[in-house]
Amino acid sequence: MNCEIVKLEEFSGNEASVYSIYIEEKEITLYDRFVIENKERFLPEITDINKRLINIGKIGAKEHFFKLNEGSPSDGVCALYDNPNSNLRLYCIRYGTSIVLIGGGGYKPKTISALQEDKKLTDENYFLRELSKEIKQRMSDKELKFTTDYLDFEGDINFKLNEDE
Amino acid sequence: MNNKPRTYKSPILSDLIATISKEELESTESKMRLAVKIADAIKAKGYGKTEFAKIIKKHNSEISKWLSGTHNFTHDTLILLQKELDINLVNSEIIEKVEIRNIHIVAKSSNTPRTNFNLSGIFNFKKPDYVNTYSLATI
Repeated sequence: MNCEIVKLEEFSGNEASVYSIYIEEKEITLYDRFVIENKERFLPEITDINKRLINIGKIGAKEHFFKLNEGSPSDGVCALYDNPNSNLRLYCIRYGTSIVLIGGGGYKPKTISALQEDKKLTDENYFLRELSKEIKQRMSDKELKFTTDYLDFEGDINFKLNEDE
Repeated sequence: MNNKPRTYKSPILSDLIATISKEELESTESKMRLAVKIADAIKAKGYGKTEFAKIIKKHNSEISKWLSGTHNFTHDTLILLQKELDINLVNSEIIEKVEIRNIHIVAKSSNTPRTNFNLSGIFNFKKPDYVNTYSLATI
């Protein structure tokens, strides 16, 4: 699937840029898809996540706003903390306090402890792990870099990745 | 190589965000900024999260919850953190109240006879209810 990193206007601010992945074939971002999939059942949670993302743009993507180590070691994959009673899990890749790339997620039943127990969460999480690996490789190859203010990516932002569905 | 990601405006998000009130956003911002203030103070004290949890006899998971920016703190918790971290989280200072009881305005002019002063016109001032007396005079 062809995808592109895009900057989300609604959330990006002076302290952090909030990105998502635009899927060309579906003409939608991963975050939009997450919202569509969950807004009927979990609208208050979605609203809460939106409020947090708006404020992350204003305050910065502070480490403690995220549940860290949700991916492979040092790939930056994490989950956004939301209200303790929330039923949703949203996966992200965090690059310092200035950039956060939000992916997808889904309903996380209280009965499961590991994401691998749920196929949807596993797919969303592993997609971000794959993307993070690709971004890391491109940075190492100098095909992609951060701007000098660390608020943006610059370079080759188009990817061809596999998505399990 | 120099292409930056384009800015994307989502119609789905725009509609949802439009339903969020200014007060709701401010409340979330306040919780998140409070968490940053506490996290910065823990760091400034030279503690790790686990170490700080031990010091205040709480579970590590509770500290994570506090720092997530989603938590509604109780007054007792804020007082505890304020004491341990030497920061001001609860403003309990009483602001000194200044009372104005009497106003007396005296006007002096070197080239206008005092009888020609229309003081009420110059000082177009309505006495507030909390002021007991208000007077105008010329010298």
